[in-house]
Amino acid sequence: MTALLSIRDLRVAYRRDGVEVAALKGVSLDVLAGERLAIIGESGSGKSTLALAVAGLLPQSAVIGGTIGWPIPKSQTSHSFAPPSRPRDAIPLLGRDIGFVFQDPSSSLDPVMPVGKQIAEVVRTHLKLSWRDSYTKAKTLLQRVRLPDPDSALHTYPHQLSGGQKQRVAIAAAIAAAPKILIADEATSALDTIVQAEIVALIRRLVAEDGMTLIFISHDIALAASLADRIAVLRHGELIELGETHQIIEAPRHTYTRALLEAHLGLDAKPLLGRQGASA
Amino acid sequence: MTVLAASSLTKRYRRGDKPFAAVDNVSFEIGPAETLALAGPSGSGKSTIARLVLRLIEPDAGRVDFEGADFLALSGAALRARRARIQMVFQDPLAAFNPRATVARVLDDPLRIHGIATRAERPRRIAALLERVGLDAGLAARAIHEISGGQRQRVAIARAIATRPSLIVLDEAVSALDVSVRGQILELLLDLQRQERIAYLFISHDLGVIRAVAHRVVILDAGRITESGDARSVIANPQSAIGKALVAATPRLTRSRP
Repeated sequence: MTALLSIRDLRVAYRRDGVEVAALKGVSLDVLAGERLAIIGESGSGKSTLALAVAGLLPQSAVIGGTIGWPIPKSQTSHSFAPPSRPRDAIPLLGRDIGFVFQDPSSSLDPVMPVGKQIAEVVRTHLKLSWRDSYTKAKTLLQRVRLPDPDSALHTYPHQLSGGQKQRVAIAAAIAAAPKILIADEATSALDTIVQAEIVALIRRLVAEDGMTLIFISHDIALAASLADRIAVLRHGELIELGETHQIIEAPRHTYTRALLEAHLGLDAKPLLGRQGASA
Repeated sequence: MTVLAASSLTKRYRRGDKPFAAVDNVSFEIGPAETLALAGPSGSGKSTIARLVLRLIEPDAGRVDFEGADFLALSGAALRARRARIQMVFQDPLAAFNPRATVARVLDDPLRIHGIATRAERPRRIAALLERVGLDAGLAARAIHEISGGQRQRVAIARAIATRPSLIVLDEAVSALDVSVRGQILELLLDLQRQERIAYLFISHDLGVIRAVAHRVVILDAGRITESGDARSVIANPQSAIGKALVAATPRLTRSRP
């Protein structure tokens, strides 16, 4: 498979109280076209920073080094972060080329705009369709994310929907312009287990149907393994291990990956509670 | 002997114009040194039950007996005294505490309010509490916002055990922690339970965690108990539709074990 995205020596630091705090310390990896790549790690590992960097969503104040190369057709360019002038179509555009799903749909959706308009806006902006055609496409998207009764759903506001339904709308908006890459940043972490499984199934189906490349950011190694072809393990801003999912799960090379697997409390894990501890 | 007995607890709210029961005729018991887990999807009534048991809200019907007394009938000084025996740990200790308060201050409050130690004794008691939850006594002078999430949850546990409770309500108490820290906190809770015979009402959406630490589990759906029993048996062989759905939705690592 060819690389859709080549990340080389990516360094990101945030300024806090005048001090630079490193969030990514020289991460290099390729994202392959059409793959489902999970990026996992604990808090402070830099996994969200990596997602935001790829999407071009880092705050202005972030100090960025290294390159994210996009060997996209015709313009085989990398954009180094240093020069401000970059050819306009050489780098991917958030919304058009990259769809992004955040953890909390309540804060990523506009609370005072009907959900149909929020999706249609993405379509109109990036696909240059009329409002009428954009709404038609929005309705199709709501069907694709399996929101019940898409006709009336177009006119609902986010607060009228459940958490899982809101995340479906956010996913519809993210894929509205048929992006090449879908980034889901802890997109199911605020949902309960059952809804999480439904949203993961939805993401899996949409990615397969549209041939999208998925970057799935998660703290949950088991959830990541259920979805991803490859898993990248980050810790303290460094890439610890990257491999095929079955290799990471069954033959992890790094002690930290093994520790993460050991700490997972699955339904087949050894209980911490001794049976003799049970009270009468 | 039971520490806590909830009988036919019901709590109704209104959703728009329609009344609905957030908790509907729920009964359960917890014995000394026992962990009873409440599991269920969002909106199944888990946290409402926690708040009813803590008497942060009053039920529309039902009864709560705590340490043999009608907990809902207590008021004034008797209620305050009994409340020291039920403690709580929530998901986010940063939201539960004043972030600018020092660790010492957070631990001093219950000791002072419940008259557990004199002013002169309290610094020593605070140091002992910190040590009990695996923290350095030197942490006492630090502000809550300065310490890590795992340390904060240990402080929350130290605060909860300061009044020597017989029951601690743990509402998603380990859900926001990194997995490596989570294991340590669960071990701490089990250790405290063995030593002090504390009962836990353990609320979690994570069946893996419940299976690891709970003796019994109650599965809730839309405010009602759908099934209950030995935690490992119920999770291994759920009978209710929602129990089956919860088990099926739990992510699992399929690998050949060493």
